[in-house]
Amino acid sequence: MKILVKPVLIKDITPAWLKEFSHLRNEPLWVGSLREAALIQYKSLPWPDPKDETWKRTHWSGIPWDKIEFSPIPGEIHNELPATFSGLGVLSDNLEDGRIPARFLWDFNRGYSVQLPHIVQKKGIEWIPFHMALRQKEEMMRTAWATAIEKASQNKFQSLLLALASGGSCLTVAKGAQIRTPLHQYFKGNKSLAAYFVLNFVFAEEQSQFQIWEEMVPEPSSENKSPGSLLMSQTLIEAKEHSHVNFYALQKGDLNRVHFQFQDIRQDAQSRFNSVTVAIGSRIFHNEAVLNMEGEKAENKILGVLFGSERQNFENIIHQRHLNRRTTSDIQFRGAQRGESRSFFSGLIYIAPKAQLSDAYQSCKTLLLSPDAKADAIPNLEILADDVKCSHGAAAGAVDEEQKYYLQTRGIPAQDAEKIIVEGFVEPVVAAVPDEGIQARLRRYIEDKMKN
Amino acid sequence: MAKKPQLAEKKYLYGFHDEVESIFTSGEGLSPRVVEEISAIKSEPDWMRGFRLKSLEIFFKKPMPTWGNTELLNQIHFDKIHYYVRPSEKTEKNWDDVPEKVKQTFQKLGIPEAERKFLAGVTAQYESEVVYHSIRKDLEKLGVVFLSMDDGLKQYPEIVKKYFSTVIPPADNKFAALNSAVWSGGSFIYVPPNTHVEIPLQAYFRINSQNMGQFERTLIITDEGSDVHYIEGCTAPTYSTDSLHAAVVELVALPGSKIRYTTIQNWSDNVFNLVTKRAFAYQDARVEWVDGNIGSKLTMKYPAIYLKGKGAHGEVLSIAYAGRGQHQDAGAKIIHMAPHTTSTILSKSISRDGGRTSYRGLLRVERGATQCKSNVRCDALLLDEDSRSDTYPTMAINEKDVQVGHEATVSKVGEEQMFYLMSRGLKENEAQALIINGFIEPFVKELPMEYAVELNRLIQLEMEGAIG
Repeated sequence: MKILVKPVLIKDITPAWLKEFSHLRNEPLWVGSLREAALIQYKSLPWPDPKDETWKRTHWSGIPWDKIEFSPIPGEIHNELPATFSGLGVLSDNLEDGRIPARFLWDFNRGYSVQLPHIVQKKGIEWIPFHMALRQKEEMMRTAWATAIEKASQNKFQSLLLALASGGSCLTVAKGAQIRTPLHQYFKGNKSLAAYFVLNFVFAEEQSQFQIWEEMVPEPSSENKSPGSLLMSQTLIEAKEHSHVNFYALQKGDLNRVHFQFQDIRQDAQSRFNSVTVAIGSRIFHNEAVLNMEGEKAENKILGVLFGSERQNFENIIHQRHLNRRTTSDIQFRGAQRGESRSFFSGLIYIAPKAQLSDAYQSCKTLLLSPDAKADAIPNLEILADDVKCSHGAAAGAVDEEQKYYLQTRGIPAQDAEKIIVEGFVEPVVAAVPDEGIQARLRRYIEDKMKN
Repeated sequence: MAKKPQLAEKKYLYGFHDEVESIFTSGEGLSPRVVEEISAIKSEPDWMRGFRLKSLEIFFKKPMPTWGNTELLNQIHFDKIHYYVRPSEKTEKNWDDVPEKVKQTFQKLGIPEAERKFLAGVTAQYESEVVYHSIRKDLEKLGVVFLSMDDGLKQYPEIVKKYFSTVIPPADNKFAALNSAVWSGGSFIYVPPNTHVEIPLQAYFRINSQNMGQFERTLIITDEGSDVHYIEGCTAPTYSTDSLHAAVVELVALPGSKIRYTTIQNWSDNVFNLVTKRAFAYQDARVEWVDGNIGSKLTMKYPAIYLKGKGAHGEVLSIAYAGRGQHQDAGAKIIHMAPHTTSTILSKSISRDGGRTSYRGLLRVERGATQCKSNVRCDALLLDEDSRSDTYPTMAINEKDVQVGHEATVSKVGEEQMFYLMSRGLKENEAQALIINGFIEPFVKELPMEYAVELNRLIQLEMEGAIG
């Protein structure tokens, strides 16, 4: 499937152009209508107000909106793709223990490649690019996409993404399927002034259990010249009753990239959702996650680590919505910042009147390693039920001089002492990832980042 | 929740109103004419009249806040409010000279009695004007100035001009602009260097009329090495229509001085209480806001401290109680602007009967404010399933060499604690009252004894009949 439309600037996209785009991609008619609705929503929403808490800290000035060109991600298999990923630290064709990994590779400029071992398929997994799912799982996809547009009624950029999504996958895990092999998804691609839009769907049926590993990989050739590309990605996750979804992500995108990420998670009764995000890359990384605990005893745990250096800008906005009884949530974010990096954490725990006996926690701790680093935190609570347990904490400060002194008296140079303290500080989050291979990779990346 | 608490009518002891003929009222609504009139009656200098008119322009230009409880805020009818009501000709120094009716009101509230017992000075404000004022002779001799703001402007024009509106400019927010345009009454305090005012100074604010707007303006300056404790209390009659109280309070703590400002706000629940309070603390100065919010329909108040000098210390200790139809949107703001500054915020809130409490706070560390420490703690108690508690804390840290922490908890009265107390023979409501007393203890213990007793009694009254 070749992309036959001419390149177009984001600002020049019209409903008529989008209709043609959808037609050329051979999408069902309803997709074109949804895209059009999302585009109209995007155009009708104002730019974020300078006082808007969600966006007011973002360094807008460096984003040349008028020059950004829409770059559709080719919806075609690219057989040489695995070779272009090798040497980038991603999983090799065979795991050390001889197993074949389940993996999905995306290159925003070339296409995709998918490898799903037979043994995994047999357990009831379907993993296809989302454009194929539009026909194969029409009903599910249509509802999910339409609901997402509705939920984005106040979110300008999410609306744009839902109009222009072209890459991304659709994962369905059948009822009762329990998969131990991690499902890996890698993304790369960074062309100056290009805008990419990625949409992922995850459907976890009843009692299913699996783990996803998602990684944003930097381009080896990228010289990180400004301006880089703009990436907007959204993941929609539906966790049915008793399902157990683990989601690990490493964001190591190119340092000239602007990345807006949106996650929308809906949890049914007794489902569990765990996520660990490690953010190292991108110039601006703006992450918004909404977790809707709709079913009784739904549970989640959201862990995050960020490492900022130079003029990096990280923003995490997490909304925990306790909508039913006995729901449990836990947010723990940790950050270490150098250079002139900035971070913003905004958590909101909302407990609905009927969500009695719920338990919620959020904490955000930041180590500031340079006098020019900045950290803002707003851990909000809105509690409308009385019989709940809810607490939060936030802290920011420098590396403890006493700890540093202690290490130095043991013969460890000051620089190494700081590194050891930072590694110890983020270790609880790294240790929460169950896969040892992934843990080792995370530690290596963190060490690399600390060296700079 | 074992059972739904039986809701009893809340008792508000100060809800009576008295038939007091005012000698002047500006009538309903606001215009430059009203502002000119107020300024003329007070025979103010030109700069103050100009300041008022400019502030009025700002007030008209500024939009209503788009955050907080906008639904309640938009119920304020600015054109129905009486902006200036003058109950008597002048401020009396002798209690016997205060108009009889007004005197009766304050006697019912126990004010002169309180003064005799433990106060160094009292200001009593009725509607827009201070009707009674006294200060102990020995303090006067030491050079301590404690006057109504209007008299302060007349007698100490240089000091007033130097500090007035420097801490809170009219453009700060819509309600500060409104106050700046129509302010009347409030206290002016100046404490000379190295002078210690050991006993608290007190102001008492009373709104009596319907649709009344009270806009007092307080300015406190403590000169180097001095200290003062100021206490204010507020009540109003219960009417079916709403009144507006929009005060501006500015504190200037010069190097090495100390100010403690205590408020026990017990407006009736038809009063909008939208107050701007801010303090500047210079080198090694100490400012403490002790802030109790029990009354009003909607309170929006975030006492602020700007730690401008090295080694300055700021503390905000607040308690909020929200019952039926009440929203206490209170909090604190602390800005660390200099090295070695320290601060603590402790906020306690109780929601009952569908009441809503919100903590809204800001803690900012500016670049260069190295080695500063701050700790924020918010605890909320929810007494039934109809009530609501929000926490909106903001931390903005722009310096690495700091220690900043924030903690918050929301809980209900523990069943185990209740069971324990009831097994010792306490009734359910007594047990609950005891637990609540324990919860607010850190706040109450900072009050002078008489006030602590009064506050405990108020909370108990509010709680009475809470659980059947």
